[in-house]
Amino acid sequence: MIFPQENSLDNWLDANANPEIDKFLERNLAITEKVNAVLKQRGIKKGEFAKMLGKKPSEITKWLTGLHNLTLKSITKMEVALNIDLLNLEPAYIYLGSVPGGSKDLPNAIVKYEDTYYSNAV
Amino acid sequence: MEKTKIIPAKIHPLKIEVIDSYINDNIENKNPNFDFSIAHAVQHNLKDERIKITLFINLLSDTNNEIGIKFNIDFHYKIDDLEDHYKLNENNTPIFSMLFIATIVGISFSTARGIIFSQLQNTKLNNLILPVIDPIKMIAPKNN
Repeated sequence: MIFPQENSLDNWLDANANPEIDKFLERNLAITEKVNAVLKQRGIKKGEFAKMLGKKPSEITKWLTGLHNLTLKSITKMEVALNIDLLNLEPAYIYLGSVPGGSKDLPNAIVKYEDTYYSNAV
Repeated sequence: MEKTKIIPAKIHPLKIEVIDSYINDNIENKNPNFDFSIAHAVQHNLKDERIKITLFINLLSDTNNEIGIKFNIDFHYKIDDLEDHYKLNENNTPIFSMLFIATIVGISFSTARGIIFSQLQNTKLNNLILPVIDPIKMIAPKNN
């Protein structure tokens, strides 16, 4: 079955785009992704995390879906429990130039060396 | 702030935590160039004489920014002489010496170079080596 083009969800979303909701979803998802990554990295199970926060595991599962409307209080609770910063997720990057990643220079990287002598003076 | 002497033996790395990593080595061009950008955060704990450096390192292909690497790594240090490297301002906030922070950031960045190089060994990006940079260049814009 071909979905009628004029009724497609994409068209509806394009026509009704709300930058505020988009930003909210993006930030919410970024926070939960970071918490999930830290839990995974530290080997903390969701049940254990729930205990750390004094919450029911079902509630924490809901928090970590990325679709729950996290309050500042719940974000701060997670920050304190994990000792991480969740609100400054977009660091200020500094561009430091271009780095070659290819192998074209590799054959020249290892050349013939001579012994080096140096003085004791600093 | 007057210059403080950095004594390497008083800097103890305690823990390194790779918080997040992204590696996409789907390179089509054999000799790609990567745009290199970096961000950092510095935190302290005066009571326990601790400094935490967070580095965000991105090397992304200049033709497709989904190709390349992104790393977020935390470095925890115990500094025996931490009190020599800051002064309290009028609000009782410690203001650390730039030389001290640049040293710790420099140590962290060099360590990150090794971690990232090692993680790329079994990928097509195994020749990618983070360049040597001036840590002052990294920390100065944030400080201003």
